[in-house]
Amino acid sequence: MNKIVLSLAVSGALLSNVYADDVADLKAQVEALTQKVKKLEKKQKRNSKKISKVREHDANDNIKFDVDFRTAYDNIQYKMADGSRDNDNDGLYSMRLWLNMGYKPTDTMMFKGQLAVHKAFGAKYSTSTTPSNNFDSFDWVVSENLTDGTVRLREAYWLWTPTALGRGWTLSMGRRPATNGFLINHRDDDKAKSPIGHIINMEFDGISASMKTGDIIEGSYLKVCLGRGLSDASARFNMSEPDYITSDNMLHNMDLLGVIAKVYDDGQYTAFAKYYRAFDVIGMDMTTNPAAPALATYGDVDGAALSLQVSGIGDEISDFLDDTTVFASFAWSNTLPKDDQAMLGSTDKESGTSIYVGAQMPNMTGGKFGIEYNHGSKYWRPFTYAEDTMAGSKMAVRGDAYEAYWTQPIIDKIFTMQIRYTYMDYDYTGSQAFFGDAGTPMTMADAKVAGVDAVDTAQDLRVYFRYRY
Amino acid sequence: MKKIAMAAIVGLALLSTAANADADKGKRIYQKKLKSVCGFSGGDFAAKHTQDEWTEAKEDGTLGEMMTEACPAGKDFFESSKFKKKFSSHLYDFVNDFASDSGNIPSC
Repeated sequence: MNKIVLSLAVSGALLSNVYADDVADLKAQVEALTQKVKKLEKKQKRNSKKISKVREHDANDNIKFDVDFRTAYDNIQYKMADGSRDNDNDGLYSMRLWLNMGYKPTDTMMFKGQLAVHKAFGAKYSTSTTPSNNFDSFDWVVSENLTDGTVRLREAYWLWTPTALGRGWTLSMGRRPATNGFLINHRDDDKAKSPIGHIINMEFDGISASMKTGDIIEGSYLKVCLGRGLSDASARFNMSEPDYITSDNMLHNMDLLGVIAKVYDDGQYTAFAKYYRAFDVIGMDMTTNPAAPALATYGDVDGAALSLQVSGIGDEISDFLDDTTVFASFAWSNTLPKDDQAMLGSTDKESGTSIYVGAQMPNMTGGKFGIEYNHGSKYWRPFTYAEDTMAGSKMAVRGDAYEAYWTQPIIDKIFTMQIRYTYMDYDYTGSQAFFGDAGTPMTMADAKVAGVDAVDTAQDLRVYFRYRY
Repeated sequence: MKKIAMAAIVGLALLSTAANADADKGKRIYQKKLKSVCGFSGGDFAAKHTQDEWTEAKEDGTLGEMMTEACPAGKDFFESSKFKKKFSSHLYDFVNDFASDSGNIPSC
């Protein structure tokens, strides 16, 4: 019995020694593994940070491109004042390509650019090359009109955003965005690129500087813009004078000075006020030589607008109201003729006004539905020649314009479609003209008596499909 | 009664909106609810973290904490039930779009 007990005790002691050794080994192994895991975790953290830094560097170290390609069908109908004929096109197909680019090498400096092609399906039988007769290749609107497959510069500018004197500033120069402006951007399904959609919608070369005043009034800033609409520099390699001099053979420089104030913006309520003066504006002279009308330099034009937008009605009453946007805008224009040279058919200063209201609502299909209305008076004259409407600028109408649209995402925001109907009812002629004789307002009845071939109503039904990525 | 029910259904259908997350909506929410509270722009807010960091916080359910870290003054908003139920997905889409390593350039 004793032997058995003794042998058990001995083997127990031996086993416990072995067990203790194993535990110690295991402990050491676990300790070593823990250290390894800790090291790996540290390494992984370092690698993650490194990858993030590389990604950040990579993401900001090259020009970013994105594509916006739209194919559209437009059905256009005009009714003439004299009733002599109805003009229409029930099958206008077009494609528009915007190649957008941007680069922000530092926190305070960025470059943005946009190349554009806008053409009709099919070759154009007659392509205008002389802007004095047809204006579809005119610089202010060249990327908005249906021309040919030429890639053109629509935007290119640098933007510097330094901080000085305790506030933010911006300075920018180049071909600046002055299309797709505030309010008109809703029907175009674009982000607002400029604050002046009611009175200016055209391509614009110039300089702008702004000062942020958000510390005084929420979201506010003050901006000054200088633009050149026409250059009087002579052409290079011409036979009569040196290259690029200020030439008497050309129309005068046409410049624009504007002051824009973002009066208030808290994300829900936004107010913009603008004033500009355009110097030496152009117009069609049909008086000097009625047989051969030509562009001429006229006087100056003032313009101003106050635009208000409410993004979301109330505060979380319902998703529908939260996502509904309503807006209203009032604008004014005023001619300043020089040397008794008639502008818009009058040697007096002539003022025009316009109101513009609209609403955009979400619908149950995940899209947006919008309605808009604007009215312009007899002498109303904005710079909206590049508006994205095939039957003329609705904002320029001296009369009433109505519009309804439905914008629908098909594949997220990458592929969308829109159905839009625009109806323009003119009270006066000359709505789409420049500032000379062609802009003279006549009632439809007067136009009929005078034998002027004036458009009484115009409509544009559009269906488009748009790819953006 | 049928007419009332039908009208109510149609009305509700018209009033209902898709609840998909939307970066633009996130931007509007930031402007409306947070810009003045935080004291800086939405672009600056989003650029406080990388896309991976924002995504990890979303997956871990700590997006509110990370956003509070980025904007301490917005703590009450980020801790509210409305943030969790209604706003967080839109705000996440927005910050993800303009995170420091997104390469996206905010509109000027």
